[in-house]
Amino acid sequence: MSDSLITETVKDAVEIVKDHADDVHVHDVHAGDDHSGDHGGHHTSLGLSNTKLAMWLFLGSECLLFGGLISTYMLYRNRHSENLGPDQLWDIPFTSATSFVLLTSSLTMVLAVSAANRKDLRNAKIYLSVTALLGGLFLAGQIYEFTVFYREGLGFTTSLFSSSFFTLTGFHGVHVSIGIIMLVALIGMLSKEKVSGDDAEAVEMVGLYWHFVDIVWIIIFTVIYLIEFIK
Amino acid sequence: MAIIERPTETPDVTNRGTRPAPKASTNYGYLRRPVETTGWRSWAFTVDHKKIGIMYGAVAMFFFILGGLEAALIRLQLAGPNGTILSADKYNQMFTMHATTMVFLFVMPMAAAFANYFIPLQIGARDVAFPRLNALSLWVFVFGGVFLNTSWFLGGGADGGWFMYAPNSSVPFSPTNGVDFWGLGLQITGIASLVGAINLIVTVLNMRAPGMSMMKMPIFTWMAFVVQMLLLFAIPVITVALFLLMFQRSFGAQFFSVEAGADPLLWQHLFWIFGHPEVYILVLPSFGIISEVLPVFSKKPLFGYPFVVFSGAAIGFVGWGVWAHHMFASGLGPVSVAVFSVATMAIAVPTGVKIINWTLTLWGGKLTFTTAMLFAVGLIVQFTIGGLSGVTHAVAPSDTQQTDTYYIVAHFHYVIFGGAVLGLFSGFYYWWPKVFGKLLSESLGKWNFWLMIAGMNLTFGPMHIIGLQGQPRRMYRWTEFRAGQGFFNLGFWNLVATIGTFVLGVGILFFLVNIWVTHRPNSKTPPAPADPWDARSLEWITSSPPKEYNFARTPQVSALDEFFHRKYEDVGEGDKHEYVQKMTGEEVIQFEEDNADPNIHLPAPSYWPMVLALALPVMAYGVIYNTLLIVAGGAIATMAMFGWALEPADAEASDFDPPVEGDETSKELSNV
Amino acid sequence: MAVSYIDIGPLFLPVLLGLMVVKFFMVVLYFMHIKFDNKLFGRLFYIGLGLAVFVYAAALSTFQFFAG
Ligand code: HEM
Ligand SMILES: [Cu+2]
Repeated sequence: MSDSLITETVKDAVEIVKDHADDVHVHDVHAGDDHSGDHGGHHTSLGLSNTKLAMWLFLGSECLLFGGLISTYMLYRNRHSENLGPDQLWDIPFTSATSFVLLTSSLTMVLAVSAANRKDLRNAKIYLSVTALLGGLFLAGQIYEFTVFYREGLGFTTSLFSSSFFTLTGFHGVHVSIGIIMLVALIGMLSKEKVSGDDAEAVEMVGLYWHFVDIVWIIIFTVIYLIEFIK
Repeated sequence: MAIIERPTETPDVTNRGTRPAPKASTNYGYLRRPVETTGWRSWAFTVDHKKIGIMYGAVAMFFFILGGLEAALIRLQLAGPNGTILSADKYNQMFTMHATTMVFLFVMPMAAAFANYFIPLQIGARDVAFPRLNALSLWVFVFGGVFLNTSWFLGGGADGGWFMYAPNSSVPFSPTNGVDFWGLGLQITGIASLVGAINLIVTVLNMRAPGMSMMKMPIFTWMAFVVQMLLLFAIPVITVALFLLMFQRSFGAQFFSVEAGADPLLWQHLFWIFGHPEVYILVLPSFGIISEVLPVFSKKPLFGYPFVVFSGAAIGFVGWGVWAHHMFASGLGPVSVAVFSVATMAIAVPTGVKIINWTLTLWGGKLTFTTAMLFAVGLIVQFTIGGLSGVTHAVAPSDTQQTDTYYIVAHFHYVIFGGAVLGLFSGFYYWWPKVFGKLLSESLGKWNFWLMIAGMNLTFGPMHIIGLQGQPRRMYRWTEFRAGQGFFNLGFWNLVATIGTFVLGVGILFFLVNIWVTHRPNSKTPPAPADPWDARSLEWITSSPPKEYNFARTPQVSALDEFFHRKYEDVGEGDKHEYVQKMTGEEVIQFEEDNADPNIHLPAPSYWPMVLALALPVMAYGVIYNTLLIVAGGAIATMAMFGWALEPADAEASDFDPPVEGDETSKELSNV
Repeated sequence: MAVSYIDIGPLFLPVLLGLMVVKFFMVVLYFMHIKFDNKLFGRLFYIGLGLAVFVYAAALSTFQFFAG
């Protein structure tokens, strides 16, 4: 469908240029018009869901948000005092464990979406709860990690490194929290008696968001944590 | 929207009960839908894209006047040597707030006004994809703009220049709260733009009338679409910058403090990665507008429509690779400067393509110089002048001479005022009858136009000279001592520029007078004809002003310039085209109305967008004054989001007063 | 640290980044259904992703980030 959006656009363009070399338009009837007859109700030009389009656009936009935060961190990652840098602070096994928790939550999210699509509400609710729980565990891990760093002397304003680290991971943490709120709201929605097709879509949308937060973490974990192994 | 949204002609609303309106509690705890058709509530809580568009426009116009007054103060201060009207400090605030107001609170929202009003009409939709989000964008923008300007009463406006370079924007250099207001205010209006962008992109992609392929879309819609794509990706970049600034100023981080080892150039990069696409965000909507206006008043189709489309898209793309031309003087290093210099020259090409297309549209046409047409032609001329001075600073060595002088001020006002503002005025005159059902006076319009053109050239023309003579921008005083002699005397040209500002001001005043004359209570202006300009595109295939449901029936599109092709028939042979009129515009519209869709569903109005929008400035004041307010704002926002989520997309029958009967829960429009 | 890893010297960075990219796209393609869904969704997302990589890499390179 989107291929047809693009090819159609280009084809039309070529046609206009060809037919209108003398710059006058012909009245051509749009070929292959698939919108015959009834166009009330759920008419969309691409046959795609508005909400899903909006979600993907939003995620595309979020790439530039996190890109900016990650770049800021990359620029400032070495600007710290001798004894309060990644070398002294990172606890890779611990962070690996919390990362694993977050990645697992993506898996349970997939299961939730597919359950919702099958209209298997019981399982959808279970998987959503597990996802939210794992997300919560990840957040708890992050808070714990922040506390440890803080005790070791790394505050938000300690160094350029610390400010950009806390800003980046903090933004990610806020995203996770929002995701958890949405998961909880979803579980509430599914618990209502009336269940519509829209609910399955809502699960899918939250799923997309959740996976996005997950892939951002994949990058953060690699380029912020693991990379410090290079010596 | 309200009861009227279900047009009374349609059969399914005739059956109205007479029970009293239900209390809120019967609606599961959320508020009754504000379905009033008249009074302020019909505006405040509307989700109708047309009303939202008009409100965007009205508020933007207010900010235009405000920004214009600020500009007038600047020019008064510089009219003669050793000006005494403004202190150095107030002067700094004045040019910063002037620019911020003009860019973020006038041109962008005015373009949003046009996009909101006309995109759905031009693609044959009944509304945008997410009507409530649309209302949210509007109110977030309005409250953000007001918030930003309350800084005047709370210790003074921002004073760091519109691009707020670091570290000058840090507390030691700008100790009042002005910069905080600036950063938070732009953060808020940024949310409005981002939400609006997502909404309009989905609308264009997914809500087109049957038969309207992308290449049959009216050109304004295309350009507005490109702009929304730019906003979608540019807003998050400045969001990052503004967050860093906020952490720097309010929470003690040192992102831009050189003494802490920071690179203040980080700010410049982030700002201009956003900032260069931003200049296209400002100017492309106007390009779209005049690409509608020129063909109509030349009685010819737009020359090379696909080229105009693709060059617009190309500008949108290449525009991402040139931001560092704003930083030639910052010590980027020779390689970066060379790369960005070449990329910048490349972007002149698609812009040139557009100018050629416009010129060829005029070529050989039967031209009528209405006010709208004058403004459109004025844009081509004035923008080209600005484009030429622009090329002179794509050349890095020459830019090094010009940067931070009045020459730059001259350049960007020719492109921004000449490119963006003239186009918007062209749009006002062209679409006024569509939106308000009355034609603005042409004779007042001509005064409006010629005074504005004279004024802008008198104001900004001399700035080339005083700039090349070395007068810096952002200086609150100049002295006789260095003013020079003869033709290049700074005193003379500064005075001319100030006089020009007032000519310009009178020109704009004529526009306001024109509105008043046309719409005052006992005005003699008759209602406009349905097709006053012999127009070409889809938005004219409906009454003026359009009904709440836009089109009596969803139009079936088969051509670019659909309206034209319904009115005219091609009787030429082979390659020769000759058009004869087969129907008048009125007849086309009448035909549509005779075949109206039996059932039209529209989304219902809602309180929640406004409530949610209100939470943002509350939180922003919290950042500046008291953390408790952040919590309070957060609470309001959460409540609003839950209210929003629980509210069904359509008003329930019981929301109406008197309530209507029947199942009215169609979901033609999405329920977000 | 209790973790052990194979020392692959100069290959470490490319391998690490490679794995990151693989994992990233696995999630996008399969979990987020980009591989099976309408192509437009993926395109819209990739425009954002591509722009982000491009502008930020260019900006960082003006800081000589990749040189040292
Ligand atoms: C109403 C007519 C206008 C007049 C008379 C005017 C006048 C001026 C003047 C004299 C300055 C230079 C201040 C200085 O450097 O000391 C200035 C700056 C500026 N103006 Fe305008 N302007 C007008 C409209 C606009 C519009 C419509 C826009 C944009 C949409 C705009 C954007 C700017 C910007 C971005 C600056 C730079 C401010 C800075 O240095 O940070 N102006 N204007
Ligand atoms: Cu630029």
